[in-house]
Amino acid sequence: MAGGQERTLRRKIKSVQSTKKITKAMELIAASRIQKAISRMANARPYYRELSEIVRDLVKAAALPKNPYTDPENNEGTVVVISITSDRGLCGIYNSSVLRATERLAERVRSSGSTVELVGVGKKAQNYFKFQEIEVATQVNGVTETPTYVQAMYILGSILDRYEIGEISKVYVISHRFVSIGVQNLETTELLPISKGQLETDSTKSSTSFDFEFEPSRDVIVVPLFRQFTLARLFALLLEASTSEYAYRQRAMKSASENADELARKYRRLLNRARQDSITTEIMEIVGGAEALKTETDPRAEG
Amino acid sequence: MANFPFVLVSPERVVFEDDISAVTLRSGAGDITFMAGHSPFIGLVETCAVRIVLADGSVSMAAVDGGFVRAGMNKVSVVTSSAELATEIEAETVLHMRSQAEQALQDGDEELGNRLMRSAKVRMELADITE
Repeated sequence: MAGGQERTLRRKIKSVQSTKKITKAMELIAASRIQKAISRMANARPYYRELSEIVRDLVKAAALPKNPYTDPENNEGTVVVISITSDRGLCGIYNSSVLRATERLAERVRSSGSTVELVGVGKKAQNYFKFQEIEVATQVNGVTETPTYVQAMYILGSILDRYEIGEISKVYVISHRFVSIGVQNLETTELLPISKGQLETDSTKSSTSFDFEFEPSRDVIVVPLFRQFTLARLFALLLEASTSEYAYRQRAMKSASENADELARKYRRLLNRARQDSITTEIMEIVGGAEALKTETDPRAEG
Repeated sequence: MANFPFVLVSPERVVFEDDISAVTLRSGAGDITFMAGHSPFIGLVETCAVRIVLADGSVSMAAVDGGFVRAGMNKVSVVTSSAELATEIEAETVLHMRSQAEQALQDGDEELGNRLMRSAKVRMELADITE
């Protein structure tokens, strides 16, 4: 009986320790991937900076030509919500928080009378929506590990086409923003229409002002420029989400490894007690047996 | 000749960044060359080959898939969705791009097909790729 308990505990300790080896390895992998993801973000920054500079100059030159990106004609079109999750799990609350926020936002938009169209990025979104029997307009997988600009174009291309003709009136992105390795925030970004605030905060950063010559003309440039700007914003969000995912995974795996340590310690304590118990029992048995032998042999010796 | 800072950026990396003496690219109506002290300018860039004259007078070529060019503060920047220096172009990738373009044209997606075909042609000319 006692030996059986020991065996079980030994087996448990072994399994906890092998699980810990895996979580520890995953923690280290995530940590090294964060660095790569951060350098991808850094590589994308010059592009975003140069592009925003052009946008800023265009906005500053004179009143903006009429365009759907800053003043949409139709305010009652479909609202698109893009949820950025991961393809793989084991990253704590990373995915569930995005999906919860998506449902809340979708509910709010629906109650205001608009139609919602969901776009899922990442397998976790796909599984969740399927399980909840929520209809998804577009599902894109295999993006979040190393997002590329082509993938951003793939996700947003047809949405932008429909936005430009007024079929879609708003686009939200729900994703994790990367602040630092320790801090990532879940944010709902209003991708479209481009808010005046977004353009103004960008323009206050610089004091230069020129009379730009536009080729072919401002009216022609404004739409492709805002289109590319929107793509660049989504691409930046994808990169930040990917970096955040690794940070979440690293933290989740770190705490899993710590839990494994704790569990192994607890089992070892139980194991020691069980072993001590069985030794005590054995000693008692031996002593008892010896006593019994003594009392059994004594009468015979007298007899 | 006076030099000025020039940068060619794509979303994933800075393709080229240095002080140069001139850069020529196709914008809207035709080719346009920027030299030091160009007046403030913002324009659309077609899918084309960009000719960069370096400070030492040597020439570097790059393929650009459309985008925008901005000249201001004696600095020129080209912002594009994808770009490669001529020396980075790989024949295999370009031929694959061309077959994708042909496929798209066959499937009736003219916009995508033409775009890919133009990108492939610019690269084939730059890197001297034949079949």
